[in-house]
Amino acid sequence: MNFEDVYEAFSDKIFRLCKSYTNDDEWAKDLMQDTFIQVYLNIKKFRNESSIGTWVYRIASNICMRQMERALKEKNITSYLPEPKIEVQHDENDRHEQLYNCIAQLEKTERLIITMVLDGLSYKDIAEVLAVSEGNLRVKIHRIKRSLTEKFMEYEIEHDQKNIGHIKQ
Amino acid sequence: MKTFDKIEGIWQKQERKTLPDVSEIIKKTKKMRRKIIAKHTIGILILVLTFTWISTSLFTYQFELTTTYIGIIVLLLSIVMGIAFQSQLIGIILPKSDILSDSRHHLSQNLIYQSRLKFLHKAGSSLYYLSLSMGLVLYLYEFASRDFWFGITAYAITGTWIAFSWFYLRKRSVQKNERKIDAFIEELQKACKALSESA
Repeated sequence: MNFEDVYEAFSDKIFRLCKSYTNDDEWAKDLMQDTFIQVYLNIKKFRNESSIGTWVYRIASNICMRQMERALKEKNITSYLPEPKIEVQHDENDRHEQLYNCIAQLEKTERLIITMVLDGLSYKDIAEVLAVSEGNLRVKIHRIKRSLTEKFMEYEIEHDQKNIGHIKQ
Repeated sequence: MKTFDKIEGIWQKQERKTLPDVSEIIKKTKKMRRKIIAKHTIGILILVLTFTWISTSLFTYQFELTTTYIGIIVLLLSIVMGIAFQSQLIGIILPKSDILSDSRHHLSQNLIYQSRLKFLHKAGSSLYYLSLSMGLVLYLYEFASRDFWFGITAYAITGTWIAFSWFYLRKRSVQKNERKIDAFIEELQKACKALSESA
């Protein structure tokens, strides 16, 4: 597989992974680019020990986690990610943004895991990216799904209440 | 979980974002490569030039005392150490974590690297200021011994500078660096723990 094909196939998914991690479009674009810079530099080292997708996700996860260092050094802050925006979005199109806001409320490694689940990666592949056992991962994913569902349901309830309020007016 | 199915549905309906073209990525990669090479080259060049300049004085001037030569050599070594650290040539001898490894391994490698960097920075800073001060003291001895008042003045100024750099500059640099690395180490440990947590 050449670099252009890999970029075409995975750029959008990696952007979503980075956005889940940072909850910021511009930062996510930077991380996505950093990921593919590493893919470009190292594609010749890829030896088919795993699928190309797993390999790219692995690099992206590492790039995201490395951001801790860059952010702490450049921005001189102790908490290196933007705070999740809790306000409720009313536009249907913003439901995606609200979903990202809910994901941003999860712990950092959980954000990576749930994004890979949502993108349809198999448990085996996710376990390979993170080097955790599949059994351990299944339980983790169940917990993360429950947590994300609760957060999203809170948003849905508030959204419905606001809608009812608008109709009554 | 019906709501999670709903979440999956929302996720899949996301529109494809306008992302940089593949040629931009390739261009950026080549630019980054050139920048790294230039940074290391400049670092090495400054090192070589400083080394050459100071070594030249060893052969150009005839000093009476051995302490002057020793002082120059000690100064030389401390400057070399300082420049090597500043230009991040330390990255060559202290390898960073492998970006291609799995996340758990990458995190633990990074943790080791950061801990070593923290130690190196603290020990390196102390060694740098100590050796620089020692070098100056030894170098000035010959000139100070020729003239009493010059000697008093030279050592008073040098002593003040040594005290200032040791108790203020060095302390500030170490504390600032430690704060950043400690914050990062804490985040790394949290991430390592999250991945290692048993069901």
